[in-house]
Amino acid sequence: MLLEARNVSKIFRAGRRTRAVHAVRDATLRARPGEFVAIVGESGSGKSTLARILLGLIPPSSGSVELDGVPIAAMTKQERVAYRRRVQAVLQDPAGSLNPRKRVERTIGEVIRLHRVAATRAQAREKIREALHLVGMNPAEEFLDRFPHELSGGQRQRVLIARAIALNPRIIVADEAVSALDASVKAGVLRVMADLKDRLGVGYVFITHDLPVVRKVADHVYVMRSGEIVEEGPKEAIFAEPSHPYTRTLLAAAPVLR
Amino acid sequence: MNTATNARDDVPLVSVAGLQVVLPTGERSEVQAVRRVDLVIRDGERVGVVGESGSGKSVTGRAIAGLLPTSPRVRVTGSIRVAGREMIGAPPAAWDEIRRTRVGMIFQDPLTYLNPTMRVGKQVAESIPPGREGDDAARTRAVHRFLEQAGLEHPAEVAAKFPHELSGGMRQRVLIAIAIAKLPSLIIADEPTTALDATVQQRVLKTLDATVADLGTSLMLISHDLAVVAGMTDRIYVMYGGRVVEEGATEQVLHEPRHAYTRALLRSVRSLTDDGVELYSIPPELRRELAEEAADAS
Repeated sequence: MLLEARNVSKIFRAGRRTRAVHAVRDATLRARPGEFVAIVGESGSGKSTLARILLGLIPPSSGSVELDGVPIAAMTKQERVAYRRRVQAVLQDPAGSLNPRKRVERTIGEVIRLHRVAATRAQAREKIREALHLVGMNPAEEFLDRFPHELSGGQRQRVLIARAIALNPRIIVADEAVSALDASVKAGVLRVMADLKDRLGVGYVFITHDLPVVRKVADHVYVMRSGEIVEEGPKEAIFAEPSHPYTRTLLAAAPVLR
Repeated sequence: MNTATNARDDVPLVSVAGLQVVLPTGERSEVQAVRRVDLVIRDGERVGVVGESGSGKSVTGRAIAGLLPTSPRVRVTGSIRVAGREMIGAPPAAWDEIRRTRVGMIFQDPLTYLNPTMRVGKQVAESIPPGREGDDAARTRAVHRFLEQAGLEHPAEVAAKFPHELSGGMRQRVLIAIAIAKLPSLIIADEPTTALDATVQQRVLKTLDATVADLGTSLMLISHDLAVVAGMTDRIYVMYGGRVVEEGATEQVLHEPRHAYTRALLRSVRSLTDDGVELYSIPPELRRELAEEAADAS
């Protein structure tokens, strides 16, 4: 399987008289199952817009997003539903992505039902448990009946990952999924993500401004600035010999504890 | 009023002893956010407070600035002395004076702190005590000087702008300007750069560093980010579950941590950046031990 953004651009127009914003310019990117792809950039670099385009949440102004060569825009309704299942999203703010009135079991159960991943109620329940188990929320019984406010920030983020993996996706697009977390919780969530990659062959498009994290977990890195991908390559190459001055600036600025 | 100021030189700028803060979390529930915290900040000293969310670090900072909500359900006990004067139980006017002249605060999110309908120059001017700078022209010059000191070029242009016309990094510098315009003895910065991009964060921290050094102001830097605190402070308090679990010279805490939590935290932080080390998060057993330790202590 191959997820590909080909020459994607996105222009936002606020009004007739205001200047158009070129949020993404001619971006080309590839992601595969089992591969950890990172998009790094600072605020306003267009990385989150590119993520939303990859997820099919907004259409590109030009260019296309393709799954195994089939552009989202040309997909049938059924193919689109399948796309939504195979390419899942985990976004930054777990408090905002979870319905405060739904317990964990229902939060995960609803997407399972919606995408018909399980045939029976018992199978669905089994699936929910399995997903929670995979993200390290053991025993699942302890968490099933909790509301989002009864979970810690790291647990909420793990519920979002559990909800995503319950659908057996091949690729997860994670937008600043660990940025707001404390170091220990961040390490825990990243370990879960790396573990899912190793065990289930899940691939990631991991969008972040956190370079040390990218250095730790990514396989392939894209660097974005002002809507453009200014540099890309295997992680080792990007960190050892950054060719773009902007990448060098980013690397120098990342605070690291010695 | 008990203001013992005879031996001024021996009196630390801020001296907190046995501080306890209880905050309401719902209709009938409450949490002990700060548990018997002792903390000292001396003149010109830079002190860091690190801990994860819920550790009580921000509540401690707010208590020292007198910025906790005034509700009968918020209970603050123990002692907070600012320049020798006991502030717990002090009248609101006494707190106002402390905040106007002694303590400047910088928060994470400048947009909620800045007035969106007021030009930033005026907001800096409001922080200068009346009569200190003389006439209006002198006051304007002072505003520009503070903006410049906070690392903003073209201060006259910046002063004429509204907060939404500035970038995040510039807004954070406006907060620094507002804080230093009081000529305070202490700046309390609570996650001042957490919301900023790394390159902007680096510049804002440099500015804060230089400004504090220029003015000889004490600094209390509160952050979950050990790397940020390490580069800016002389001494560190490590907080967990409302308690100070370790205190010491920054270098010493980083390289010879004594408490199990500090060791686990450092291991976790380093595991996120160091090569060839497995990602490490604080194990649940340690968290349970820490909870028991807290129960035994209180």
